[in-house]
Amino acid sequence: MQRRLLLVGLVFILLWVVLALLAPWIAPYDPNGIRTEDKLQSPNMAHWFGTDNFGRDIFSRILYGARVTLWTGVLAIGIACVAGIPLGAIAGYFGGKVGNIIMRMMDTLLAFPSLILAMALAASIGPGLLGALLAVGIVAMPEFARLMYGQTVVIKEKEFIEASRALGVRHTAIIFQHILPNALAPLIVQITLGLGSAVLITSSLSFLGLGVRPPTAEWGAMISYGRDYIMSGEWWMTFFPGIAIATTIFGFILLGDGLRDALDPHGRSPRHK
Amino acid sequence: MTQKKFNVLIAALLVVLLLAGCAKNSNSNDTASTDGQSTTASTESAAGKTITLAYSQGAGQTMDPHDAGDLTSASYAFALYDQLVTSGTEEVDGKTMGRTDQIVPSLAESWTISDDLTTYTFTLRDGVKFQSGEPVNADAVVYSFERVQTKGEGGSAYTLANIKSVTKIDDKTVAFKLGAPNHLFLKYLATFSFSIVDPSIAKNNADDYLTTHSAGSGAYKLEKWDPATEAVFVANKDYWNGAPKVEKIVIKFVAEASNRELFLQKGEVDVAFDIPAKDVESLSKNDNVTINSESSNRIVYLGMNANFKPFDQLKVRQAINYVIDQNKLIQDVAYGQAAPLLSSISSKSPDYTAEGYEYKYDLEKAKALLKEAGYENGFTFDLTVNSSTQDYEDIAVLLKAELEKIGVTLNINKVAPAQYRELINNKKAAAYLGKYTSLVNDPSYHYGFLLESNGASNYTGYSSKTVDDLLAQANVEPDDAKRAELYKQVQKQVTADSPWAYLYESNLIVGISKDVKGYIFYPDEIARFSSLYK
Amino acid sequence: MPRYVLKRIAMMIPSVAGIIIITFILTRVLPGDPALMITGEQALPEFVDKVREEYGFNEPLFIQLWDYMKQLFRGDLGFAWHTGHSVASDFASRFPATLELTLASMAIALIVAVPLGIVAASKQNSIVDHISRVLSIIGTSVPIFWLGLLLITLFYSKLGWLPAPIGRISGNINPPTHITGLYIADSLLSGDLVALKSSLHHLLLPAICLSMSTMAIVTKMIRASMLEVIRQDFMRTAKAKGLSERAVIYKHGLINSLIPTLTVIGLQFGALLGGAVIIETIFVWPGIGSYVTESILSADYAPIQAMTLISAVLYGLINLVVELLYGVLDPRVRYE
Repeated sequence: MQRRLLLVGLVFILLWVVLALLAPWIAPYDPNGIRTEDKLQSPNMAHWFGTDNFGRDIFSRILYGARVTLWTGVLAIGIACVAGIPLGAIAGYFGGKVGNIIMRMMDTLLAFPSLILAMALAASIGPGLLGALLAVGIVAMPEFARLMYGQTVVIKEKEFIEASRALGVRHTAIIFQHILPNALAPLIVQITLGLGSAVLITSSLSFLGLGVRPPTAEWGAMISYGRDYIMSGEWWMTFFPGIAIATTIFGFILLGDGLRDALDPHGRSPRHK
Repeated sequence: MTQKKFNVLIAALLVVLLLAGCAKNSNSNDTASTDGQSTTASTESAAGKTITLAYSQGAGQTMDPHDAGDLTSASYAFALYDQLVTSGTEEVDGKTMGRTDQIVPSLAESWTISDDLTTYTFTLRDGVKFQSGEPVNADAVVYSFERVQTKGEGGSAYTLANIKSVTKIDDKTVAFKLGAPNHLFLKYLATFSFSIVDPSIAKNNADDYLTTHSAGSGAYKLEKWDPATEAVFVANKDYWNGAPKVEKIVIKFVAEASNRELFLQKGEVDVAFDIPAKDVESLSKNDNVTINSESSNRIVYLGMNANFKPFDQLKVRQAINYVIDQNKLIQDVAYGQAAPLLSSISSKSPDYTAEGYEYKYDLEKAKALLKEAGYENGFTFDLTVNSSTQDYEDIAVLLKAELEKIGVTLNINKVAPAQYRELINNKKAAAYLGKYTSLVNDPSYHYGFLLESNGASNYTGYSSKTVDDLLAQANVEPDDAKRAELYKQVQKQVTADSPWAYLYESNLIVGISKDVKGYIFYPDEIARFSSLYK
Repeated sequence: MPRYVLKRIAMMIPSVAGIIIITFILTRVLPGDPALMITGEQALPEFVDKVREEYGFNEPLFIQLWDYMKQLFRGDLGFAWHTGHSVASDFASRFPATLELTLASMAIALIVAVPLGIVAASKQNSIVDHISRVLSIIGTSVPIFWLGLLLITLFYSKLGWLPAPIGRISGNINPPTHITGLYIADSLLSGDLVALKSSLHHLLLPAICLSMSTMAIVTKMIRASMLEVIRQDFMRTAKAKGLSERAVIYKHGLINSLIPTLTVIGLQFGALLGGAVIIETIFVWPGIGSYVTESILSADYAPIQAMTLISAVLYGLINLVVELLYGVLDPRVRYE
């Protein structure tokens, strides 16, 4: 059962990755091509997912949107890892005052309502994707630091680490060669789940008008855009991008949960310590 | 929990409920009938007495007329306070229209102007009282003009109006001395900034008291102002110009256009401001709703900052003008609820002329101009757009597609209102989408802010000695015809220099329920709700 | 225990100081000049400067921070120029709205999640179990802003079952007499059935949307910890002793699942207060979330600072309460 769910998740993610990569070849229309004579068409044979108020093909926009969404997610989580993992490792490995201060800072960041923090950060850094992905990265960072901290504290007490230390191996070498590889499994799980929430926060930011520059096709922005058209019955402008977001997050969650079960035979969830 | 404890708890709860039940129920009439359906919605009983409006532009920043700077606050000021003079109205096709370019008496019943045009002497109306019962007299006028100088928005208006002194002659007479002749002085006096406040209240409270309280002589009094939901105004039964015909005005703050529309359709509000243009057609089919779509003083334009390359070149700016298909924008963005903009000032303004505007949609011409300017291969620029209005993003998206056709890349820099203001105000935007609705309907005011070299809202850094000289000349020209001629020359010069690409004059669209009457549209877009009745 | 509580609260102080400083810096780097927004577009530069001075925006940053700290010590949260009211008064009028929404969504989440989790665990791989799994996946993967819009389309536009998705009560109905600020409670207390009906209708969709993720997580938690208990040895012993299976599950399983569930509820409660941002925007709910959004967009510093501070402190306090409840539920927990 769990294996099957993992597979389903993998299929969803691979599907989106393939669609994103092949978008220029699959997409029937230019995602930003304006044909006002075709505006607000409901889904039909020519436009599978209908068109928006500029006559842009929603199906093509969703395909191109996958590129934006996946890229942002990967970059944002990349930032979170690059910043959070070393911080957590240092805090856990050296402990003491430094470790305490680092983890206190991370706790402080966690105490912020994450979306509000992301909004303020995105607004501060400025419009465009860069602002959004930095914001999402910073918001996701403490989770990684915490996880790495917990792992390091446990692993560093193990005998082989003590032995290396006694042999005079440098701290950085110990962290990189021994601790990191041993913490990899839970980190991979966290990365996968983190990608899911990165997609969610990025699209929420876009929905609130703090994401990509128009006319970039981005799912959250498309939903936000279609909002004014719900009451007048043009549901397809919001419906399809929503499905896209949901299936992507869905895929990451299944994948993450599945990986957790696969990598951790005891079935103990590493998230709830 | 034992059974006994539980029983005690239940009993206690019941007592609380019963006690509280005696509290006033805000949805039942005081004379509640004894039949089964005693609770009915309050509007049922108050029908004809309450009018509910849905505002689009937020809850307003202040109730203080001297501090007001946004449209919502300005509309409060007009309901709570009176000015010495006010804007006129006229009947057009059975509709009453506000004329902000015409001035009629209000608190002042008459005035005289000295021969050198620098002294205005006003005679106050007899027997007018503030809502507190205090008389509206010369002291109140002098006090109000002292107070307004200390405030941001009002202080600006005071400086612009060029008032040197305000003196009490006697209890009913006040003299204004101006620094120089000023043909729009009376129009300034009619703005909300120059509301007359009640000194007996303003003086005896903290300076910010008027931010959340009212102290005026206006048709309405403030009952409640909760920025999260609504503001409530009640009629001033002793209003000197006749008590309002409705007892209560409730203003709901509904930021989303589609929601205002819904409210209106469901009859939950009587008037909804800023109906989205795309829905005008479908809403007009609703028998209970009248759509009032009027062109205001609002102009929408694309500003190009000459301090940024390549906008330093006239030919590049002209080329942009040739890429703009105003009629297409009006159809695709404003759904027909707009008019072409053919000058740098609204067509509702005095002394307007479309002369000199020769641009039309012509990509070949645009390409040729770019080539002449040395930008044969196009260029890339950032267009700063305010995120507060969807229409501007739509314009930007359409323009981007058009500009691509002549090899120019436009990057849309969509930013939050606060950042937008900062960027354009500091002239840091190479190009921006701007809108402007001059509060005083006069070219002197409009150009003084927007296109005079040191104008406070001159965000493109446009600087033309010709225009500055013409404006300086016009501002002191006593003869109306000669002045009009000067302003027309200004318009032609600006159009020729094209610091802006003109986009359109947008309409203010208001949806009004059929049983509400008395709506008057004013080109300054500020709502005057005192005239509404059922 | 009181000493422990005091110690924990003392430990919150550096964290709160950190939050104050971070939010202060965040607001000041927010692009946008508030003085320009305060005066309006048609004001002369000298008057904009004057406003800048009045609000102290031209002071060096550390002086502004110092002033802000002093102001907080006086218990003053500042003035929100974009509403014309003090932040405290805005908070007082908006907090009940967010609280009501949060409480309602929490109630919905628990009412669905607790029985669902229990049944799912006791009847593994049954239909109910599958439903619980699907629900927890949907709950965590569907973006709530989209769900909100879908529900509006369905229940308002298509079926017409619920009122226009705007605000806490219909426009033509008076809010109930103010007692607690929670419309449901107030209309019950004042016996105002009209207001009760309308506010329940308005509360339903946003509360459901907001409850989704909590519902998903709590279902998952309860199911998992019940399963853990079921698989443990003492359950076998208990069963062997002849207790009926149901009684066993309820007594041991439920008690054992309480602590992790409580943790999740605490965390979610903290998150909900901030997470209401999007739901409040969609349903025009006049609460804290929409207030913060407005403030960020108009660069109104005081409310952003105050609301983040309050929600972070609440988050800390709620977690403390949860931790103390552990001790009540499980006497083995010791506080040091």
